[in-house]
Amino acid sequence: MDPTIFIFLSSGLFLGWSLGANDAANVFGTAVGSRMVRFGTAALICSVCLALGAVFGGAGATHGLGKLGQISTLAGAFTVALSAAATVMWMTRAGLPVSTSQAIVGAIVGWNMFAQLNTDKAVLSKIAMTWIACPVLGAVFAMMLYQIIKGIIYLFKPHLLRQDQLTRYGLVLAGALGSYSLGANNIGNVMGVFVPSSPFTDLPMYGDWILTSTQQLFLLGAIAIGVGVFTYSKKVMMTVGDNLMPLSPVAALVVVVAHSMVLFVFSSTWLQETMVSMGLFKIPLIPVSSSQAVIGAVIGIGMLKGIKGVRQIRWMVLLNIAGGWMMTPIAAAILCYVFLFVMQNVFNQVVM
Amino acid sequence: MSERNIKIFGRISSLQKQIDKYLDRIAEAAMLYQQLFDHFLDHGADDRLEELVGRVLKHKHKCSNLCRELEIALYTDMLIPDARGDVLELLHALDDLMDLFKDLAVDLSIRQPRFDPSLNHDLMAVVKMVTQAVDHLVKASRLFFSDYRAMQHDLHKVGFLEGEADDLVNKLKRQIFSTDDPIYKKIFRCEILDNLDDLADSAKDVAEMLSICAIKRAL
Repeated sequence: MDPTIFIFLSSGLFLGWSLGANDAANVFGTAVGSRMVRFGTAALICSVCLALGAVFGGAGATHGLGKLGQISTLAGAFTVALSAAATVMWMTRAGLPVSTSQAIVGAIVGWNMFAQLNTDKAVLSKIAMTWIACPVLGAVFAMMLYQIIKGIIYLFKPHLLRQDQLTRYGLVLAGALGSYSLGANNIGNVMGVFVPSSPFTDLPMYGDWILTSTQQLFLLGAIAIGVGVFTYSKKVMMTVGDNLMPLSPVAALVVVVAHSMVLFVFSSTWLQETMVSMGLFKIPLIPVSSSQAVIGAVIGIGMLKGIKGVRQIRWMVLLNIAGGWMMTPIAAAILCYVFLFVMQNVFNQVVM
Repeated sequence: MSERNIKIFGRISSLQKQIDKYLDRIAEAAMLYQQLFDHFLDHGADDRLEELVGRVLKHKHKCSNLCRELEIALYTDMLIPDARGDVLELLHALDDLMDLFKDLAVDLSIRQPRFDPSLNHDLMAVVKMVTQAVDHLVKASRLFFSDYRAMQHDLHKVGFLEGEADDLVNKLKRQIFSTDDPIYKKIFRCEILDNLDDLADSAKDVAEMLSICAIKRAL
């Protein structure tokens, strides 16, 4: 294998690192921030489950992203991932909330523009629709779950200490499921653009089990995400907890479960097939923003609490977040266009 | 289930029992004080009174130890991070109430105030109101841990009993000052009543704190 391949993959790994550093906080942030779960435990569970989700469930959402633009050269994929990673890093440093999914979508659109290819409007609008559906669904799931858990607590009246203990276990379990869903849904953001030009070959493992080239690529991305979780996510986790609204441990649990459910909806081929076989609508399998799901869930809980909850939401922070959501894809598209121009004309690389 | 999980489950149950025991001791101390005061009014300071004072002191000592153990457990096991501050504040406030019971009991045994027998009925009524207020506070505290929505009833009773005790204490003070006894005796007797009133006030303060804690706990 040509070692230069890893130079090209490095931008994807960098994007993976930043996804691990930022998005792991969406899964375990409230739990670690409220000191319900130790950071070490959270990081370990998150990394392992994320890798499992990426390797075994990552294909569906990646395929959805591939419809937006098939980047056939490694240099092109490198530039697209680099632009997305740079956008994520730049906006994070500027203190603006950022979605990796939006960054990669913006970068792919930038590549399409540079390659003078038409972006499939239907696919793009479907993806853009998930940016609205994702927080809305997060809010709906959170409202339903919160009411159910509240009902259970009121019915069984557990002792405060027992409730705390069960919430702790719930947070770990929900965090594990959330990490799996995050890996399955978001690995497409990190390694999706490299799939058409994957440098790996299928690897026979045990018996009939073969680790496909895509799975190897995803495993590499998952390791990068894991490194991001261990090296940088603690800081983000400690601040994400009550950034938008102060959350009780039970509310934190609801947010994590609702977030996991949203990610599961947009990455599960099983759910998609089941819905189709029941004659219902087809859910698009696309990487969605875990940040949007979390924010939707927090707002859902706030709205459920009526005027008291609505007043607790820091609306300026929310406006800032909404601004970030609009800026991210545009910034990534522009940056990708510029980077591709530089790669092609300065470094003489074939980018399309 | 791993051994560690079994240990954690066991630990939680043991802490629950400790909290219940702590609250039981406070309720018992209130009953003991009522018994002690009743005995003092009927028989004055005798061996039985000293025995009752000793039991109150023992209760106070055990309560302080339990409070300390609970505090350490809540911190070392990192339990209830969101409500830990409130729970510790409650435990300390209840421990302060125990301190007041202890001071009142010791005070009675050392200073042995002489009240006019005609005041005995009202004096006992004040003591009963104060101990009942503490009893309702203990009930509310117990509910705070499991069914915080149901504790308003007991908290309301604490406030009501404190108000009633206040009125009765004022009435008794007026009666004490209407006698021809020397002023130092009148002031001395009123001090005992003020201490009882302080206990009721403290119970009300804890009740108010508890109702704020309940708002914070609301889902």
